Amino acid sequence: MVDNTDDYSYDYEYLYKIVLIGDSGVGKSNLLSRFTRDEFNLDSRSTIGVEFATRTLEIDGKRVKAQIWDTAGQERYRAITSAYYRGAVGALIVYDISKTESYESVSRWLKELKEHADANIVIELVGNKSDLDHLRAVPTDEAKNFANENSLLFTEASALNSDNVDLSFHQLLKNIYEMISKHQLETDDQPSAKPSSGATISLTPVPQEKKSKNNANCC
Amino acid sequence: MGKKKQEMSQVYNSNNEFIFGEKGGKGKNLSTFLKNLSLTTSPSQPQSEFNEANSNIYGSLSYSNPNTNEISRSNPSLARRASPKRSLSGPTNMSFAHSLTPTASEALRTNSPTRTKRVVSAKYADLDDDWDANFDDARVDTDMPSVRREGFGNTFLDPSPMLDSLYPDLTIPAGTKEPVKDSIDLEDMKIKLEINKLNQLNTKFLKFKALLTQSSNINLQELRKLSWNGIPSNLRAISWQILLGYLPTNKSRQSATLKIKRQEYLDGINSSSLNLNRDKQIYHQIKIDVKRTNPTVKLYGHPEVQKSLRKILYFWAIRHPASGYVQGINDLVTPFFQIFLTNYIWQLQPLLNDPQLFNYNLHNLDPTQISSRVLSIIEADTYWCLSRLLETITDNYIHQQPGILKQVSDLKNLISKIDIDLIHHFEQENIEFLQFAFRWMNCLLMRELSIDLIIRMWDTYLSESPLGFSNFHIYVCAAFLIKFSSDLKQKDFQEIILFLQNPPTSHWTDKDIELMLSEAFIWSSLYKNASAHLR
Repeated sequence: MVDNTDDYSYDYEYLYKIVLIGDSGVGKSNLLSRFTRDEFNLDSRSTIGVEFATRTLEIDGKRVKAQIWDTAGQERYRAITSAYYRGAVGALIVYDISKTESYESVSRWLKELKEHADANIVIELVGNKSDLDHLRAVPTDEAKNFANENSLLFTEASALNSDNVDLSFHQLLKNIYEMISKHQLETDDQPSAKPSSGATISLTPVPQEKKSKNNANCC
Repeated sequence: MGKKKQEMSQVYNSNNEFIFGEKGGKGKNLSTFLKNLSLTTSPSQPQSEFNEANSNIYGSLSYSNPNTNEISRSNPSLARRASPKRSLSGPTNMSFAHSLTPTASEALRTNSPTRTKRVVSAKYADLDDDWDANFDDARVDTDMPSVRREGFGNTFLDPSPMLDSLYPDLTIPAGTKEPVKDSIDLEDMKIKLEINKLNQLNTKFLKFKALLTQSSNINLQELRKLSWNGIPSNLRAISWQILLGYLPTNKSRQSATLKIKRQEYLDGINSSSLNLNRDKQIYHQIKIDVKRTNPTVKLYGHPEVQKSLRKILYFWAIRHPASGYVQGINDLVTPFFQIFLTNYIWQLQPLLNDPQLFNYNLHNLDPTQISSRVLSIIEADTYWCLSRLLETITDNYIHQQPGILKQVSDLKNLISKIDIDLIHHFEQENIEFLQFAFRWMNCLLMRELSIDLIIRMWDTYLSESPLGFSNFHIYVCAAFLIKFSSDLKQKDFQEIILFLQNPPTSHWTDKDIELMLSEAFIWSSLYKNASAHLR
């Protein structure tokens, strides 16, 4: 990696593909823009299909790049967006703490992931808009319990005032990192994920020609 | 008749402002201008017919009765509220400055690169010729007021401070003949160019006007041909409605058709079944999307406008259960809504004789001034035109959106014929067309281009037969992508996706759009017959 440090796109050791899902209007796009650009846009338009952003951060001394696919919330887009679940190692299911319906949909989103995503995907439940505590419709404990029962990570965050936004992504990435490290130790002799096309992104860093080198680096 | 004359004054107000106001005005230009003016205002017969055509758009509401009092009675809220505005908006000359905007932007619109060249050369031949010939006209200052009155209509009868101050300017150059120097004066050339643009615009306007008014049956083929290159903004509403087949080409049927359609919309909207068994999920989705429709345009922030859009979208969704409401359709409704809304305001101008009406644009219009009756007419027209558009792309919004998938794959095939290197680069970077082109199809590039550009683009789409939203759009998307081809070839996966997610089009003008449309046209002609193996 050292010889490539001047090229930012190579300046990471791990690339994790993450999907951001949840009902329309819960604030997925703003969570993403807060995390990747520290921006919040009151005038944001609805997401059509899928949008993309990245941020590289350090986990356990390793440079980890999160490649995050932000999806449209509406049901009609499910066929398109679910294609992006493939190859994702992490997912954030977002609901709005002031909208019961958006919380009630969480189990539906969970089912979506079970159907279309890899079995060992790390999932975090995020209650967004925690700044709207006075309008709260979903009690923290209830969501927390649900998360525990379903082995999901859990946070409440606010894209508006930045509360817990970094923390929720960081927590997810750290868990992915740990899961994959463990997984790779256990299955060391197995060939790593095949070079993928399109939406499917392998767990190992890109570009592919660097793969063997990187693998040697981390294991 | 006097009233009808004013229809034309829309165009000339702006000309006048531009030449006399901004550029200081020289006798030569004035005379050229006046000459052109007298040429263009002479055919009064078609104008009355033109108003007839417009009367069909707004029917009994605005035109059916030529009596202004009748109008204010039939539409009291607008008439009443329009007048106090006069005092709010300051001096009258402000209004002239504002009224320039639509024409200026149109000047750009008509000005394709090839045409500009032609204009420049034509200009020399033409205007130098006119120079001396017109001088005598310009010197006859005593004629001025009458010309002015005739040309500009009653709107200008009260001499505004600005016009007064310009009188001396107009006479000065008359005494100092310097024809040779003038032809190389850069400022002067610019002015000439402007005049030419405006004249061109005017010629275009007259062509449209003639087409829309001079026969009892509008020639649709001819209208398509003209509209392909852009429609004058004050004739856009009627042209779009005809091109979409909403307004019949047979003028004797227009009023009746509109009446029926508008009533049908009203009945549908007010039907108890629609309101009692409201589909909560659909309504909720529409509600949150309307709130974030064109969030930076003030008009769409008004509760009245949002309510109208909700009604239109919800009604459409219920009447089209196979697709229902899909995010992005809220974008597609806006061009119709704002074109019909501004057209309505423009139609009031000759009737209410209020120059302030031209001050209204999407950024300062207060929709509360518009009566619910008028709003419902605008809603109905919007609804029907949106329906026509969506009919042509139904497959884009039904389950699994097969129309979009096919369009995206057609786009990829097309690019592989036009720019195989780009395809190779995309393949190397693992770029899938669906990753960026899905939105291009779902929102017809409305997320990539400003609404003004989209409106110009739709002039052409609506002139295509069949309508261009499905097939021709693919060629436009190809032209759009190829525009960035050399940039994209330098980028990696992430850079490509981020670039195409937010393509640099904020500085684009109608010229860019027209170039893109021309390229799309060339490719569609080239590959149309090859489409069998595209698929």
